[in-house]
Amino acid sequence: MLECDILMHRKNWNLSFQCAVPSGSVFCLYGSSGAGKSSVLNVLAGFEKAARTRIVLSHEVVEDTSAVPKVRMPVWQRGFAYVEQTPRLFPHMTIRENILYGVLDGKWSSELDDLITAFQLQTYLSAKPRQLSGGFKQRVALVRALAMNPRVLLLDEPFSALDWRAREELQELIVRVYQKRPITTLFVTHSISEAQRLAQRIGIIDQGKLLQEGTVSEVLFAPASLRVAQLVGYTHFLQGDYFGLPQGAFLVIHPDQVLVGKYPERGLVTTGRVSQQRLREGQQRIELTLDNGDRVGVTMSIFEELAIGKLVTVTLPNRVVYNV
Amino acid sequence: MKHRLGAVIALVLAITLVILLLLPVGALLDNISFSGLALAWSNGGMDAVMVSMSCTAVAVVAIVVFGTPVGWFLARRKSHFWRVIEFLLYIPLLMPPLVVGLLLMYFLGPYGWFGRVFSALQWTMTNSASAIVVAQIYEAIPYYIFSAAAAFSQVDVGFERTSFSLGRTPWYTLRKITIPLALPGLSAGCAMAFARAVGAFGAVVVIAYYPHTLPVQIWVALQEQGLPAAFPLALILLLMALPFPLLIVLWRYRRDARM
Repeated sequence: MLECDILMHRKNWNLSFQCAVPSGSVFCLYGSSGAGKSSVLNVLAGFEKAARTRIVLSHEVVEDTSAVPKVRMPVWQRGFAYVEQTPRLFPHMTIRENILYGVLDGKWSSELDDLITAFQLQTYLSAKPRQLSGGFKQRVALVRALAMNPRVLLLDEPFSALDWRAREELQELIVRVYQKRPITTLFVTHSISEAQRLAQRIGIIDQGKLLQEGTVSEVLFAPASLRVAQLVGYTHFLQGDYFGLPQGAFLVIHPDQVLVGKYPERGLVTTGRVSQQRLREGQQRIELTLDNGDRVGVTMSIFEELAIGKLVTVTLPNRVVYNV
Repeated sequence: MKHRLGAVIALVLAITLVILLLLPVGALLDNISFSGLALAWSNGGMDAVMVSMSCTAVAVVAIVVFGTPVGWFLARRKSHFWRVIEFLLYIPLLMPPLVVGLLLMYFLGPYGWFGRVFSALQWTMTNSASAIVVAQIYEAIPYYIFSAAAAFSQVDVGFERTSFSLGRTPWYTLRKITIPLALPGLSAGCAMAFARAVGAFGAVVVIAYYPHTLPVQIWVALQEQGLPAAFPLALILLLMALPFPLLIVLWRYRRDARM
């Protein structure tokens, strides 16, 4: 179990973060840019100091600023491998040398062979990093981190600089590696689909505060506040008597969860006219204006032909959130 | 069309500049005979070369050993203290070499603060090889330190952090990552320091007229026998001073192409 408690003073807000990650599981830190996600990883890795830090890994205190004397294990003794958006492959070394860099005895093992094969890097071992594409560089960065047998893996948006296909492939490879060899992982992202794919648990962080923690489904289908709902992709927030909502409550609409058609057992059935139509990530995002003037977004296949002004019946999942 | 015209003008300017800069070297070669070269070599030239080479070698080693850590601290430490050190280092960099020589004479001469200490230890700090080395270090070390600081600044701290997170100590990281990545800048600084040290004249002539270094020997020949006697020695100095820095430049070209 990795436990951490961090308090860090920032210019406009304080970072206050606590979490407990079971051994071998992936915990995702999700939030918008500047929310403090990377700062958490930097403190865990030992790159940054916080006003208060307590990091315990499997009953071993890695850092404790409240202890007398203070405990602070150096970065290189923590065994926390760190992979970030930029692969940071050492440019003067070959791929093989890069991968072996973190292997303290410098010996090439059969485990390394398995990793190289899994990540399809066999033909690149004698190449220099500049000869590889961005996707392959990131594969090498991950293999290099895994090769050192880390106690904890810290992933700071490792896929954000990759194109769609490279991202999909690399995530698939990681999922396969994790199935064989679970590693306690903290994974920073601002893509909910990446979190869904890789993480068992997710923490929503905003302006340095952990707003909600749970499984990805829990957070996605039952956001604890309007802010969490906004962060995980809810786009429309309806209020008022129309839906029989109590005071201070909002019906939150996630375009991907709105059903076109009449399904009374799945939520509130209503009608609206198509007022806007946009293409988005290979699908179309329709905006409907309901009878009371409220608007809701609906994600639909691009093969559905819906003209502006057409009357559509939709079922809105009954997700009510209070403004806390 | 405008871009092409601009490129042509830049090309002409570059070629003109190179010709103008290298023309004096051509004039030097045109005015030297093999017999003149042999005469200069046997007439004190060889001794001056030996003095210059040995003192420069010692000075460059001292410059690299002491200057590299200072350069690293200047690049990596952002505290007020290191900014003050950086500012103070500009003073020897900007000081005219002749003034450096005069100050060294005051400081290390037989009646200076340190000079008296060295005298007590039977160590002469004027007109000796030690004096030449000290003067060369004073003239050349600021150039190396600032080059080293620039070289270390260009090494992405992210590489060092990655190395730490892969379980490697700061010392291992310095040897395997930081120095290899800073090497082009460090070697350029070393070449510059070598060129400054081997050609050091202003400070050297004041504090160590004897034994003659090659620049001092050139000056003596010029004063006593005129240009024809000084030219062969000047060529020897060029042959001594240029290959090492030029080889470093070539090595950097190759390295840049490979990385």
